[in-house]
This record gives sequence, C-alpha cells and structure tokens, in this order.
Amino acid sequence: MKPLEINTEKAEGVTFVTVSGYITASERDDLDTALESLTDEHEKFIIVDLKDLELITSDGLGVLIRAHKAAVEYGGRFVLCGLKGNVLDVFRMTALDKVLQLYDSVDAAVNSAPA
Amino acid sequence: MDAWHSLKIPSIPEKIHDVEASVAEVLEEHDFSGNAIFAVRLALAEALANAIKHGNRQDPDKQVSVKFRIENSSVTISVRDEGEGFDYNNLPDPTAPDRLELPSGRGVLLMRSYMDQVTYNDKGNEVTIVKGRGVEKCAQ
Repeated sequence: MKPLEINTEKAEGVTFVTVSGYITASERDDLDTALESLTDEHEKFIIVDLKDLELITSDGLGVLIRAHKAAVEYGGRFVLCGLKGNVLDVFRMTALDKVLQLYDSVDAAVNSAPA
Repeated sequence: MDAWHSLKIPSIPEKIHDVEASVAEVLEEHDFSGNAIFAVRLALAEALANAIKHGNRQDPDKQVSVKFRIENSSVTISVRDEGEGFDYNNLPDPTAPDRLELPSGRGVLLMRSYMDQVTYNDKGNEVTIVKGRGVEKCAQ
C-alpha cells in the first residue's frame, strides 16, 4: 500500500476526494497537486473524505488550509468529512476545527448548507 | 532494549515516512499503545520535517541524524540537523486568531502537545522527544 492514496470523483455538481493513508512532508506535494487542480478549475463544492486517513502532520494541514482559502476566494465550498479519533484530535489541537468545515460523514457534508 | 539506535538520512522530505514507519514498527514490537505510537509518528515526522526543511534547507549534502532508545516505559528520540538552529522559545502561537489560516507554523505546537517531553540543545539544531508507553483504552 502506498503511504497516500487519493481518488477523485465528480457527481451531481459535487467533487468527492477520498484521501487515505498518511500525509506528512513526504506526501504533501501529491495532495497539494490534486487539490490545486480542483481549485484551479473553480470546482464549486469539494468534499474531502478523510475517514481512512491514519496520520496528518502540519504539512498536510497546510495543504488543506490552502485549498480551503482558494475555494473561498472564488466562492466555492471546501469541506472535510469522516475525521475521527487521533486524526480529529490533531484538527482540534490546532484549532482548525474553527476554520475548516468538518462533517461526520459524506452524507452530512453533501446535505450541509453553506456556512 | 536500552541501547541507542542511530541512523542518518539525506535532507529530502520523501525519507520522512520511511523513518517514522520504521520507528513505529519497533514501538509495536515493544507493546506501545496505539495512541502512543500515533503521537510518536506525528512528533517524529514534525521533527524530521523541521530538520530537513528549516535546519538543512533541503541541502542534499547535509544529513539529518536520528537516534532513539526504548527503555522500560518510554521511548526517547533525538533529531539533529546541520543548520544554525532556531529560537524555539519565541515561536508565535499558531492558534491565535490572526494566525489560524496560515498554512504553516504548527509543527512545534503538535510536538509539544503530543509528547511528554520536548527539549532542544542550546544551539537549537537538535530536538529530543520523549513519550511514555501509554495504556490502550478498553473497548466499550
């Protein structure tokens, strides 16, 4: 298994990105490239499913913040879902749960109203 | 195990995962809890990233030295770069409202949050992190 797996699908106006494995400084460029290609295209609603993410460091957090800010700038939405356990704690520890939109599941994210 | 284990890696970020995964494997063999292993992986990855990017500025001619030792109830890991060191006492708080949306500056906060001890040498180019074995939570 590769340290980081990224899969992207589009359906009914939503872009779903599934990220699994690890995001450290070793893998951050791969995630950055994948998300930048979506924000460069001004995708309106991007949902990143992190339920199978096992580890994220400050480099990974930085990539997510950059994508979030890019989407907000063109009027899009960038939301995260599926975070749990230790990985969710990293977001809370860094207070990023106050900046990024987090949802329990893909369904909850899809049905969420714009903040 | 109480002897120090040492290794050196070149200053390229792609090596980080290999090192933290190798250390995690040793911690699993020594029955560290899942939470403790997560914490060590996170803190070690942060320490290595700082050493490679900020300490050695990704200079391929410079190396990062890692040594670790497992004692009865804890693991101690030191990460040293060949840089000039930094002032670890005067880092801005990344959770301050005006810094929350900055893409960087959270590494040291995470190390301090997840480790039992984080210390630096006087020069500021070597960090030592310590984490206890931890106890697995009982399944409900």
